[in-house]
Amino acid sequence: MVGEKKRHKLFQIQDFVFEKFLLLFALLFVLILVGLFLVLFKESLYTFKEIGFLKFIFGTQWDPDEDMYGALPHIYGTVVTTVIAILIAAPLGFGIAIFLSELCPKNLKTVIGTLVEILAAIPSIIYGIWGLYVLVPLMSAYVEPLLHKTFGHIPILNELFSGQMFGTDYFTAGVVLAFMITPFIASVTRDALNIVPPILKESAYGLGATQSEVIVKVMFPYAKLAILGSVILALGRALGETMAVTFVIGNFPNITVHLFDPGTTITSTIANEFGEADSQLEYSALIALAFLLLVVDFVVLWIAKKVFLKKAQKYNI
Amino acid sequence: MLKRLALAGLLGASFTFAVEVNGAGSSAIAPLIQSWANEYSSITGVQVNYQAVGSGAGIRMVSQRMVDFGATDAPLKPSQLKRKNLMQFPIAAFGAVFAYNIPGVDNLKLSTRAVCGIFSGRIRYWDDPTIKADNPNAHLPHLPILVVVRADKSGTTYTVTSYLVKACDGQLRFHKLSKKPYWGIPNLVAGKGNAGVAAIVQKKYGTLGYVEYTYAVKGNLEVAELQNRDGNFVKPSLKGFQSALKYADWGPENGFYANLTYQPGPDTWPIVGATWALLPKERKERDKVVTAFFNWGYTFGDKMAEKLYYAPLPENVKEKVRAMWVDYFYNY
Repeated sequence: MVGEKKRHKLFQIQDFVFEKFLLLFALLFVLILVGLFLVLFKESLYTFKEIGFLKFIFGTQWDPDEDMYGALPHIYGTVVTTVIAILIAAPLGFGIAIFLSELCPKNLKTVIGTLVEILAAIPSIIYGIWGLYVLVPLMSAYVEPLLHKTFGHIPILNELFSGQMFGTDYFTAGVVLAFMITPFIASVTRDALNIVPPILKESAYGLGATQSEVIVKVMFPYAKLAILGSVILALGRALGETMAVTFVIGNFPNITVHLFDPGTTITSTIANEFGEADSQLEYSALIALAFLLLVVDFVVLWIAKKVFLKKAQKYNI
Repeated sequence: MLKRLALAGLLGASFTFAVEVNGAGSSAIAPLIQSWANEYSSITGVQVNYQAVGSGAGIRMVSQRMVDFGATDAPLKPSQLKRKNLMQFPIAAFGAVFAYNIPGVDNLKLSTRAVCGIFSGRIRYWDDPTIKADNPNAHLPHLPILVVVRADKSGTTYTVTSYLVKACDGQLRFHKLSKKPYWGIPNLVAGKGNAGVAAIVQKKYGTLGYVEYTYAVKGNLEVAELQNRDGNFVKPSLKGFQSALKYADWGPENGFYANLTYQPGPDTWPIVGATWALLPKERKERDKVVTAFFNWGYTFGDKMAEKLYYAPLPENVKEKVRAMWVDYFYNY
């Protein structure tokens, strides 16, 4: 009996140590995140003091030669390229997922599925080089003139689809980003569709629903949560993507509605200028940009989680 | 002679106590330093590590004494050297060239007037009378000139703006040397890095972009002949780059601070830049090891430099640098 008690005690201690150990792991990452925030904030403080917080965020001039730094064109570029990327990647990713889970012949399924997953693992620099050497010439020679011609008569759209059309611009950057994040959306959505209980689908078919009705009205609502999750994950990646964008966006601080004009993003400006930052203020301003990106990232992910996931939860599951 | 001997003595002494040297800075000079370092470590056992983090970061790192030497494409002014207590000397030089892509045109010549016209936005088409006058036999198409510049801040841009500011005084939108100026011309496109600019020029008709000479040679790009300060049309060559160094006014008294662009001389190429090394002045013992490395590079590294399309320093400049080292180690 005594031995039993002792063993019991031992297990308790074991559990206690194990639990605290895991807690340490989790805390470590919280600490790193908080530390990152603090360091970035501390280093950007100089900019906020010299230029002024609001003046920095809403300033449209970025000219290191004159020691003038405004973040708005970079924030604008980051948001615009991300929006273009999501608008292209979400339908594309959903389409691939539906095809793979519902329509694809079995022996093709693994091949295509694996290929899509490999796409997600390609380093971004490769997308950048491919974008510069292959996509940019295609865009400036064919795609952009075609879009410009097609939408040239429709108000609003004719403003969007115009610009210098050199191929290195917001639109191309958005397209490259879209290619990068589509595999994320596709593979997560496919997995979500795969776990829809067969009984649900079969009952729908039994009631006389067509295949497209089953997919749109039964399977998608069931898997909504995971699908939104995949889009949010993709959003996070698109916001922070650096190398691929830097190669194809033209790197010119420029706020414009013309998608075929060059622009810049927060990350590409940091990549382009950090190594050659001469003045203390420029160094600090670049770190302040990084700080802003972190804040933008947080806000977007938080909104996405709060608003969309809540809504999804309300309707389902 | 005495100085030579003294130098040899201090170089010999240095090998015994340090085996590692750390440097950081300019990415333009990185291939040369790495190729020197490989050879040097196999001969002497001294390991030279170099991180190509960019000139600005190199200056910051050596100013904070995080590395044994920094390397920068834009020299520091004597006043800055004094404030940061640094010693400065050139490592090697390079030239920047204008690469172009006009269907059916090779051997393009650009006079200084034409270059200034293009970069001030006055000349917008390839068949402009000014360019036609320079190339009476070429069939220049009516194609807009698309100027390709660097998207990132870079030493190459610094060198090119230095040439433009000198050659086109008052005609440009910018008046200062800059690693990334506000160009102020309409038909402009930016590529990341030398490779990015070269890729755009290669792929697109009507482009004119500046790249380091190496990239034009490796990428097989058409390169324009330019008019130098003496008024002669010259092709880019290592000899032409070196000629600029010979005529430049630099020495220990100004910390080798010099602007190497648009120098006189009949064969001088007008767009020449260099990379300078920066050493902390209070660390004499470390500096002996670092200067020993660079002295070795000066003495035995010319062939390696030429292979990589850098212009080695002319002998008179090397002698000036060596004299400065000796002076520093024995009299400072």
